[in-house]
Amino acid sequence: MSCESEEYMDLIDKALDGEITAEEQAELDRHMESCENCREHYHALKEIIFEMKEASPVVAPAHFTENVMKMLPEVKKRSMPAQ
Amino acid sequence: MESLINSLVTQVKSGNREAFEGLVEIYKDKIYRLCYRMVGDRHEAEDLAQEAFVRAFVNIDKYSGSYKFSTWLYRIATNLCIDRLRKRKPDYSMDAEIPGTEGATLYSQVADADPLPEEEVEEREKRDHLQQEIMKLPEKYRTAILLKYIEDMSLEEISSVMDLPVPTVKTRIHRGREALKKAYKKVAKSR
Repeated sequence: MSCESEEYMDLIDKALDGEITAEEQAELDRHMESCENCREHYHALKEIIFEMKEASPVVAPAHFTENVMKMLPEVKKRSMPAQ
Repeated sequence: MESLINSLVTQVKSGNREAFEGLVEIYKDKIYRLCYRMVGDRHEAEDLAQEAFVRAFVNIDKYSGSYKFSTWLYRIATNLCIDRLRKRKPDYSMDAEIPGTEGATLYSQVADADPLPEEEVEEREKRDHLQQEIMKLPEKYRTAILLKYIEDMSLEEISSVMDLPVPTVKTRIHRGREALKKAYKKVAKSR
């Protein structure tokens, strides 16, 4: 835990989830001005999220669609078990 | 887009195989990427993504349309990935070499062909590292984190895909990112 106060941890989660109110954000900002732990915690989480979103694009290999189409059962059966 | 997808689904349901090709084209990258991030291995990801589409085709009559087709497809794919990960477990140790490192090979090949500026290499290493850390997360956190941040889904959608209540999804996302943060910090310090 970065800070003794659970309250600020909740606010940080809310901020990262985009669910924080303007009032709460102001309160969190005020707190983070003096609390280095919370500030670090917040920025570290933000960085992780940014990194994940920026993760280099992965695309399906060549001939993917072709291969899937080849794999489909010949006649689509109405009641095949889902497994 | 939604209406195109619905029309393709209807056509497949009425026996038009070719219409399924359209659906595969639309979703192949997303489904493959999800599988890759889940299992960390390109060949396995291809295998799983293909299987997900085949199952969707075979079971298309079970898709009721009460939620988005993509949600249904994602659910099939995540379940297949989770099954695969569970089967893998006996000889799968947390400390063993991580399958996610395969991505590193891919990046190195690119780097060999065309030398990259140093910052870009660092950036790639960081991403490989992140994939490795994602691979270490327990699968329940991993699924939630991937759907949220890589696939950019809403909590409601994730809740449908994972078949879990929204608050549970939220908790898993919070715990997952917390775990990633801890792992990340450790490495940053050891550098």
